[in-house]
Amino acid sequence: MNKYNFFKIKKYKKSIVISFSENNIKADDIYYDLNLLVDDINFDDNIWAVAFDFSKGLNIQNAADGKSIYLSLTELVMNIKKPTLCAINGQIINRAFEFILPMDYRICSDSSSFAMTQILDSNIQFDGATQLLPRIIGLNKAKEMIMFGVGINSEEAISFGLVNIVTNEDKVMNLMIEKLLKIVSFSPLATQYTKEAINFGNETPTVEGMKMENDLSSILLSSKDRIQAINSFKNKKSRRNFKGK
Amino acid sequence: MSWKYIKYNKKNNFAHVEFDNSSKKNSFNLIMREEIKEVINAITIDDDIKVLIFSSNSDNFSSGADLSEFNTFPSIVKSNQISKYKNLWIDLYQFEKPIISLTKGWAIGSGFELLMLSDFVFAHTSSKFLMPEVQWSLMPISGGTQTFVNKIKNLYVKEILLFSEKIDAYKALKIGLINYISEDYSELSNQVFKYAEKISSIDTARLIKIKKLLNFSTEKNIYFGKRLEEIYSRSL
Repeated sequence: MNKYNFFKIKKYKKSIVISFSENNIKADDIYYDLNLLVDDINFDDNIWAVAFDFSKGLNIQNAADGKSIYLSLTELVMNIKKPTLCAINGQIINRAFEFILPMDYRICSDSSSFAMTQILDSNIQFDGATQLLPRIIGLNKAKEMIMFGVGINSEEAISFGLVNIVTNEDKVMNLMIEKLLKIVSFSPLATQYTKEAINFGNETPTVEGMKMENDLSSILLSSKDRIQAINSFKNKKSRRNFKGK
Repeated sequence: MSWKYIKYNKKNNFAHVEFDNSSKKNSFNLIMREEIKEVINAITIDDDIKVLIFSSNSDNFSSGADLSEFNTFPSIVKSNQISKYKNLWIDLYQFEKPIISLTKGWAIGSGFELLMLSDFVFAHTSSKFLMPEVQWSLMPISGGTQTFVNKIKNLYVKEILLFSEKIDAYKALKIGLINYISEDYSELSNQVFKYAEKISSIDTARLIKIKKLLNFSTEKNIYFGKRLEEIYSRSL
């Protein structure tokens, strides 16, 4: 899978790990690559989960001509139907910070820090931060970070619920692979539908969301994975060979 | 009246539902769900009752759905109809009076989700919580994908539902899933009744309105919610 100019793809069991070929990248450079990649992920039945490797840091800049202001990277990441993880290290600022917000599971090193300084440069966020960050860390903290440009370290990040786990710099990747292998041991249909229902539930009245949850669950009823899983439960057998069908 | 899988006690102003199906680890089968539904329908219109309390009379709170009933439905359409229109969980979400749950041991799947439909959760330190659905190619169907989002931060929701991570009582307290923990179960249950007594000293109409407003605050439309608050406070 070397058709991308800016991504390096490493295949794992039923999943891929994506890293950038360089640390300093321009948003409009990676946009078309990312677009292609997201489509590939969504349509490839052999990819059950995706991980992004930012363990060597991540810095995304706008193009000098201001064109990239129209190109939303987070929207592309939000379109990924499968669970997404990321491993974070170093200083994550501005667009790089916005880029990690739509992901489902974040692991960062203890030396990581997060900040958005657009307001200090008389600019505002345009890639989803004002919508995503309050949903993740709560309105008050999000306002502090966005309106006052206050940065946070890894300790604060875990207490605000911005990252799931903080660990040593050299353990970040191992831990991410461990979590990745864990989630691909589950049924891919179940994880995708659950992700959809959670994200939908964030945006709708609770009762409507509960009905939608019911409908998705009914679609799952017809999957081979589910029938097999329930049968193996009844016969007290191992269940860990899902097909994604 | 006697029930097969639950024990129902009416004491002072409280309705106390105890799960009584220890041979199947308090898993919710169809009959048990119907029984709970009947009880909550009855106490909705019982003016004496101000608080509903859920607990278990064995070592575990509940092990969730009864998987032995799975794959026995006549058709997918029928199954969808039953789960959608005979839905205990939506009834519980819309139940107007405060719900307090007292948990110990395992609360798995629907058992865990029932705690999320409660307004207050008291937990013994032996409590463990797990959403195993994705491991069995299922997904939460008792409101989990909706109620967790309302209660705790987004990232933890995905950790619990999508990555199926086990949560102990201490972590649950830290991330805001439960209200209180204690090492002494009998003391904890005394505390629950004291708490229930405290709540039941409040006028019922006021309680119902406050609960509705608080639930509304998670329904996203803040302007409508604020308007409702205004209307309610004028009518008190």
